[in-house]
Amino acid sequence: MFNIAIFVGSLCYGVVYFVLLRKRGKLSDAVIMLLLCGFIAGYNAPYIGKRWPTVEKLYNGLYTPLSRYIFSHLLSFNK
Amino acid sequence: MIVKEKITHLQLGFLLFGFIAGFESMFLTESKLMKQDVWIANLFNTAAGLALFWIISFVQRQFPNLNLTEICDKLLGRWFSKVLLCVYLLNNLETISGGFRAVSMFYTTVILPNTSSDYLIFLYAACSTYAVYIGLGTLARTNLVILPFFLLGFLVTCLFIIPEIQTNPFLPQLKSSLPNRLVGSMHLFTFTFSQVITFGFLMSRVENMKKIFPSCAIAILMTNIYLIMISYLTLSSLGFNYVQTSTYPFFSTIQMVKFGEYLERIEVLLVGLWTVLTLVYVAVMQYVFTLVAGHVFGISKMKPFVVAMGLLCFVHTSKSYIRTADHFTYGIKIYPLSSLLPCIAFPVLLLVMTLIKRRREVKSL
Repeated sequence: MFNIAIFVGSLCYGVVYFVLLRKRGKLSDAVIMLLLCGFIAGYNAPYIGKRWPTVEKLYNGLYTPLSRYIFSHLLSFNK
Repeated sequence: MIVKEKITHLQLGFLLFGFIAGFESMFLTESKLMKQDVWIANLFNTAAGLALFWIISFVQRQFPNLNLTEICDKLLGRWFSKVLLCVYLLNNLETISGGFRAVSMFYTTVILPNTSSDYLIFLYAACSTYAVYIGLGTLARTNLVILPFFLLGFLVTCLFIIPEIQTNPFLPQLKSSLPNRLVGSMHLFTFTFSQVITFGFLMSRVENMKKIFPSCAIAILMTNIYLIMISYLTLSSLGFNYVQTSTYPFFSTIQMVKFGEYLERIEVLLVGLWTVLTLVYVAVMQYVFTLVAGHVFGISKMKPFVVAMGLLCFVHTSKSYIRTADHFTYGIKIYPLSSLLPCIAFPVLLLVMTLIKRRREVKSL
């Protein structure tokens, strides 16, 4: 319920401000707002929300090999 | 968000103290790793924090009319600067999410076990978004109001813990292993003064730029004295074994404080003040996130974006660090590495480019 409220709320916020900013002649701001709110809604969207990217997932993928090498091989640190 | 409001160098120094002191006393991971040698991490942290802060304030002093994002554009070129600022934004979002998750985890573990962590995170995100909306000046003044209460509460609590001290916990010295010393020092630095880059983005908003370094250097020293004090009190009153198994060792320490026969649970007052300071930490991070994102994406009017970015921080946190064990492992093994580029390499690169630019200007004269 809470997730759906955030999903719908962020989409509505994006669309409302897209229209308002476009009326004020700030097209690039309007497009960024729509994209940002769409991205936010994606986190709570049904089915795809769990697979939406987070910094934790990205950095786990990027840094785990390096971290494993430094902590396990160089420092022999296992905690 | 009020864009042009200025703050004083003292307010920035107090903000730096509140920023670190509120958040870092939570887990004391470095004390768990290094035990009696935790002072080594604190000494390293002081030196590294001062060096990093000097680098950033030096770069800022060379371009007094520009903010750090504009300095990056000038020194590194528009597109490379954008790439580096995006890496900083990712680190900032990672830190905000970690901060929100840490506070909600503390509350759901210790005080409100039946409350959903998502609701708590939403509440904190709403508070910090409001703080960003009302601006840096108000945030700095609020911090000035809270800090005396925090310091008074902390000092009184410390006085009442002193009777619990059995032995000197910093003896015998140098007994921890070298990897533990390295990891502990790196961990403490990452969670405290590696984030002084965030304060770099606020330096252009300070009235007297020349006094930024002295006042913030005092703040860095005071923060480290505070960290050494809480490590000493926690290790001496709880003992090494209890500190290693406790998730929130300093909280367990202040739980021992009692006034007289009936007045107990004094720690709740400190926890309240500590929560507000943690909110200051997250609000400063979110403020700078909004500022830098506005520059990177070329947003002309930031006001409508403040709520959207607050919402982004909330949803991102609600999907990050869900398992407590993963959060701890990430904090020890990934976060120190992922912070190297945006928090250490980035300021050093700016310093090198500033020196090169200065040398070229001197030659051309």
